[in-house]
Amino acid sequence: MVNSSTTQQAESPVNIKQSRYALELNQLTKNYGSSRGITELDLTVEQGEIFGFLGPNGAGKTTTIRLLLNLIYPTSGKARIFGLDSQSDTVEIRKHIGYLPGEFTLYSNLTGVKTLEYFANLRGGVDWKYVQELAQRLDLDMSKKFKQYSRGNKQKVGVIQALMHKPRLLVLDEPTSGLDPLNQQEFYKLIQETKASGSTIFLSSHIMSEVEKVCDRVAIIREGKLVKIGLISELTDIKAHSLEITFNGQVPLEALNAIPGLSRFEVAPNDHLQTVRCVARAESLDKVLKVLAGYTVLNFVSREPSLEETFLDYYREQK
Amino acid sequence: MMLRNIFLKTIRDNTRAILIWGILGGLLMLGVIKAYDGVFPNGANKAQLIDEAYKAFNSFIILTGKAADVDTAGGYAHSKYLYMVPALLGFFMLLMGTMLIRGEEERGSLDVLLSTPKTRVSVILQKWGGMLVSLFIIVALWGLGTLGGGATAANSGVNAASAMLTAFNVGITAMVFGTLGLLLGNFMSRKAASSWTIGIMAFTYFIKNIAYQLPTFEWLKYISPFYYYDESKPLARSVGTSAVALAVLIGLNLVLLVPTVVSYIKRDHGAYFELFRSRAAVKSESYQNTTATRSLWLRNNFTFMLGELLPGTIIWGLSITAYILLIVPATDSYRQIFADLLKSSDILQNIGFNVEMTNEGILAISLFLILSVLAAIYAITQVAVWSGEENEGHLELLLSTPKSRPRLLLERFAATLVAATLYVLIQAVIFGLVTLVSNVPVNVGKAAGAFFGLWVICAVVAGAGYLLSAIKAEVAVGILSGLILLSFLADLLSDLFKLPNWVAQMSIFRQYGRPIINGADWTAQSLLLLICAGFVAIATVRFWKRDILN
Repeated sequence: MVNSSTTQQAESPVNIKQSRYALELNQLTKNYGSSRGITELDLTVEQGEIFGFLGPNGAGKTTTIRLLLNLIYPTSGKARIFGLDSQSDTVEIRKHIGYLPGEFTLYSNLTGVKTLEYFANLRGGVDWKYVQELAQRLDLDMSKKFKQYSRGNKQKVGVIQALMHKPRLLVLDEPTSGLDPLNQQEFYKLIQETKASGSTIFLSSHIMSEVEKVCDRVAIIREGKLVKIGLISELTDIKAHSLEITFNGQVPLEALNAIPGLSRFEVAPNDHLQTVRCVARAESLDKVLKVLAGYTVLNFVSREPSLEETFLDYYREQK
Repeated sequence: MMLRNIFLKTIRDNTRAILIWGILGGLLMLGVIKAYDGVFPNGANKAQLIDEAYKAFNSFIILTGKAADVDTAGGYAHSKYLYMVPALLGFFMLLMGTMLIRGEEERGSLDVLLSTPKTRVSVILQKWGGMLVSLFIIVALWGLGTLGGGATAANSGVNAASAMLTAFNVGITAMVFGTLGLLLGNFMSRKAASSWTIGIMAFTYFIKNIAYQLPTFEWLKYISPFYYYDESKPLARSVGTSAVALAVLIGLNLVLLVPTVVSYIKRDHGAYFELFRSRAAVKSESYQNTTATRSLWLRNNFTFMLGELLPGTIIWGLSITAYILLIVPATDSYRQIFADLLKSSDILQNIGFNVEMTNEGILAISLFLILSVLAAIYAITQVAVWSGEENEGHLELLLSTPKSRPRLLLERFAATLVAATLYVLIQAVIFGLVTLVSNVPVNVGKAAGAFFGLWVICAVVAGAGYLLSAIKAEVAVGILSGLILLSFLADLLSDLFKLPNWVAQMSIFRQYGRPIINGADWTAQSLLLLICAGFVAIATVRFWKRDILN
């Protein structure tokens, strides 16, 4: 039932705090026959962290999330949430989960307030004042019918229903899709506040700047397989730096070519000076500087690309 | 080539349906006409066989309408199959009609189409035209089948003109319900528009046949498209083709098309056409003032489902009440008509209708036969609400709440049973009052048994629907509708076609029996309820164990 008083996060007979991990995926596999699912996914997410789950369309992000929610069943492998089995303890688990699907529809003839009231009742223990506060912060008029909402406003209803019961684990699939920049900022604040309260956030996205902004750790999935996992800062080992070097004379292409980890050379000649642009892996930078020490360099610019560019480069190389 | 414009794309989208309906229907017509000589072989007793066939067909006049020229292949085909073909094809057409604009709107695919430089008038007319041409390809294949059958049968009396006019008559009648579905889709959701069109189609179908029998209500036949269909039987030489009736059907399509186009271009995309825009719809409260409504219907899955089911239940219940009010007070006036009908037919007696023209006997034919069919159709609409939860993607969020899948299904099914109880209670109470007020005494116990049997039909059909939804939600309503149709035909036609007894016993309508005449068969009713429980148990396990669609 909807409560008028402030409530704490859902209480449960199972002590979910005992588990170090919010999520543990062990050889999780979903086989769709001819089409791809996910293959032997191993992954752990610690309690209290914001975990980014990255991948291009069709990589298996949503399949993984639907397995966690027990909406679909694994072909093999296990998923544990707060130490509980995602299949046998699914109802207990869902007391502690807030879920925002990537695509969802709700009852077209219900207003926002009725939609949220219904889900509040199904969950139980929701503080309605908090729902109103969330609506105010996201600037959502809850009196309109769901079918009258724009895409962004529908997304806000989804965000509120995911947050309203102050879950221990938030599972968000492409959460800012359709939100305008102001509401995106407000959403990021809400995510940080949720983290500050001790909750875990599992955020699936293909927007690198979003992941870079809010996540502590990131996993990259491609064609149903985990290809990379680590702290945002650790991802620099797959990061490439864009270099622009201007020489007083001929570009020493042979010397540069010999450095492992440099690629995509582009020479731009003019009367006296010659400039080269290339992409260097992070581990190659030291070697580049040592080679350049033997030449007269007039200008040296190194730009750290966004995670988005890194991600695209990474996939390009993998292909 | 078929993607060149909206018109061709609409036909392309229907290719599979055109082929299935067209080829199967064509083969059926070919088979029926070709087999005619074997049904009434030349011999001394041919005239007697034909006479018995007339009696048999006329026994089902409420279902089939008048039989004509059974002594010819064309007349036989009309009496045996073609009476119901416009309704069957109409069912397919109304689904297509509601899908054409409203369905695409709900799926979100119309947004992109409307972003192209096409006017809305052009979009809707091209789609309507595509639907019309798809339909006429289907019936043209039927016409070819009829012609092929006629060519192989001796003295069939079938020629190209009569075959094609028959096909046209079927097509233009079915098209009325396609256009009606398209029109109603401007005022309500696809699901609601389909339900209303099915209801209107069923009402006009039965009212036409009832009007044939009851002079008091003869005027009602003019409101039924099926009456104008019946006016032309090009394959039956004594009836022939009525140009006026065909013109009325063409006119009816055009008359429905005008408000369809107007309401579509006048309404917002994604919204419903409103003649009088309500203040409440325009009024927008600020979020600060929006407090929880504490609505009873939002309290849990059971109450929510009940809230979803009640509007349809009340509309269905009250519509049937209107029918009860029409039929029961006039019971005396058609006592003699039904007595004559029963005397002329052994088949009605064989399938359980009493020869004694008691009030119960008359009401068994005029009321409860139809109520049993309507109860099954009502239950299908209730199943559609449940299967729609998955088909429309609601389960994704519902199942993220801490409720188990079995609990969700069982709560929803319980709500379906409660709604069915209300549906039957409305009818029973009104029936009781009308019999008292209009002095048509009936046996209270038998009447109670008859209404309880209707509830059992609702429960079993709903149980079967939940089971089918648990197996494959997308096709559950379609398969369930087909099964109910087969069940109905198995009950009514098993004696006529000498089907094995077990086939008739499989029919839920046979198990319902004629309780208003004989009292309820409590063993059969208990067995049906056990079967229903079995269906729900299997549905629960299946729903629990399978992947949810997204």
